[in-house]
Amino acid sequence: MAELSTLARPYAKAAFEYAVDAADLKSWSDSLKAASAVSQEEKVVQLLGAPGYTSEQRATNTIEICGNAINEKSRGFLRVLAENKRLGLLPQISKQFEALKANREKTIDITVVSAVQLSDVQKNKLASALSAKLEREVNMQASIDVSLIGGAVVRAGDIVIDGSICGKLSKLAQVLYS
Amino acid sequence: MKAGAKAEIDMEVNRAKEELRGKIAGLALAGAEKILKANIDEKANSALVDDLAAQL
Repeated sequence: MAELSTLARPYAKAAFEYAVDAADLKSWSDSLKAASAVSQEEKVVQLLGAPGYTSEQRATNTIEICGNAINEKSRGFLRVLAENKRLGLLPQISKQFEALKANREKTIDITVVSAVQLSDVQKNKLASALSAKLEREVNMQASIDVSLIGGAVVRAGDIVIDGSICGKLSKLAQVLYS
Repeated sequence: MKAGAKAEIDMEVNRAKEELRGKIAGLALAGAEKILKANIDEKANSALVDDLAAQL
């Protein structure tokens, strides 16, 4: 089995890196799971093992069986696998993909911009509140921006939590001008 | 003729009101910002950060 996982690693890694760049982890994860399940079906195993099929035919058949359960890009991925006679690695690839995904989702980078230097106690408080809210480990970067006047702004991925005086003033401004 | 003139006057009044409102808002904000900048101290600041942590 160790050998299989070694063979699967570059494929899993490549698929994962592509999925991360395309911000499409969920659909890739589902696609690989589906393809892996299909490739483990007895009839499919027989078909893939049967002689007389070109790798192109094997790929097309597998893709057809998967149907809409897999995304467009992973069809290309399956073709590459078939070309290299690695369709049998799908369960391993899917497993490793999930492991990479879980690992990535475990920690999140956050930045905290504050008007003045935060104390370690405050940093810890913010970090633990955030990791409870996001249900992940957080990796905190702190910086200082005096133009905030007071308070702090927290950014975690696409979430922004503005607790600064500057932000409160601009909210007030919106109300006043509207 | 009279109604038209009245409508025009109303419009002018409204426009002037809007303009005043904008100016007052700007002044109030500038004032608030100045006061806050002058008054904010370490204690108030850490209270703000604590609030933020509690809000999360």
